[in-house]
Amino acid sequence: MNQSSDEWVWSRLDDGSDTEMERSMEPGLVPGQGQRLAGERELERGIAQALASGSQCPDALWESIQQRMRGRERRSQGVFRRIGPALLAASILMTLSSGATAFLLLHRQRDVFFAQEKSPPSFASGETSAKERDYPLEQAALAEKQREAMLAEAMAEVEKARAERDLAMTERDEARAKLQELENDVRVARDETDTLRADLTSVQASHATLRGEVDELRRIAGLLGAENISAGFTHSTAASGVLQEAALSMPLPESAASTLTADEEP
Amino acid sequence: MNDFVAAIERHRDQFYRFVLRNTWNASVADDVFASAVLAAFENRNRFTPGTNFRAWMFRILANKCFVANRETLRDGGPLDDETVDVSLLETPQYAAILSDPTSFLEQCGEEVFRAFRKLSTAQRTCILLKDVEGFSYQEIADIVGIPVSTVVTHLGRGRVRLRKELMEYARREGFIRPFPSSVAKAAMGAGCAPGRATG
Repeated sequence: MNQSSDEWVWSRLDDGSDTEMERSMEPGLVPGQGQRLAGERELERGIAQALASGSQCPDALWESIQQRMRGRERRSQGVFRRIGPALLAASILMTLSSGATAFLLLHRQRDVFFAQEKSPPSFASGETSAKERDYPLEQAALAEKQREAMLAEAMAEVEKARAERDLAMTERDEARAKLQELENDVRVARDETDTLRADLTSVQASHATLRGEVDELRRIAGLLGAENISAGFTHSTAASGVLQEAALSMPLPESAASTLTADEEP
Repeated sequence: MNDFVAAIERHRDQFYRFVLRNTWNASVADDVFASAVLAAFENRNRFTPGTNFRAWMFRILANKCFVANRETLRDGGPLDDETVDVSLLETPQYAAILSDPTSFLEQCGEEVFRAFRKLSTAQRTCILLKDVEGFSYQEIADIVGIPVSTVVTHLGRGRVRLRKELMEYARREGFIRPFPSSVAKAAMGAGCAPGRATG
């Protein structure tokens, strides 16, 4: 017999809750085990008596619990009492309203039926005015007319909005075209400015070349001698004058000349 | 409502006792008991007339105690299914106690309750339902919702641990003294219980 089953059997022997088979084991215990079993049973009884003693439910606690139970009972009954009449009134109201709605619907359907069943007024009979029964049909026709009028008005509004939108788009296109023209003008003006600047640069280069030649001539004149200075100077001056005339005789655009003048000014 | 109150009234001391012994103090016991009775009152329509009202009520009480003790156990209370050292129960002093258990328990006094509180909730519940309230194994299994074999295990281990706690208390207090070897041999007799639980 293993340990857990021993524990199990011993617990049941302790309790006296053993089965017939387990109870049949008890006489087979050795004297020491029998005494121990009896002692443990007595010990358990003593512990159980100790645990059972001195533990009565306090009256105050029991009273408070009873009061709480009564309070919960009253609240639940109170809820039913409050909800009951309200539910009854609501159900009666719903019944009456649904009955009235059904009655009105039936009455209206009957009138429509009679109005449709009636033949159109005969000219021969002289009956040209509608009777009261025809009122629903007249009302429907009137409503139809009103709906058509509203539809036409809405269509007109839509057309007006479309025209305004087209006009705005046209104006926008025109403004775009003008902007394009202005951009073209600016571009042409920039090109012209660049050309003038190039001309000015070439004129400045020619001017510098001429000045270098004049300086060279003056140096040569110095080498020719003091006595010939005046004559050389005269020749040089004459040559310089010729050169200057030649330079000045070169065609220059007016715009370049004015730009040159402006650049040279401090 | 009156029938329910009358039924509780008949057994209210038993119910309160179960809660008081199964929780940590009287204040907690009052709360748990009130909560259980009110829960039973709210669900009294679920009780099947003709069945065991006490068992039905103890099921509610046991559940409430488990819930209450689970909150307390977080603070370091005893754990279930712990290993129990039974070497003390194999000593001659224990054999001597079993020769006169009544006087031993008188000497222990309130220590019985303190030792009982050291057991796990499942052990306390099973011992109370079996030894104090007199339910059968099957009824306890139905009340607690565990197999019968587990009930027996809880009972056995709980009892062993309770005796061990009382033995240690007695040795600390000095009203159990070591016996001479000759007396010990006589007290032990031919042997102790076969293969007692060792956890």
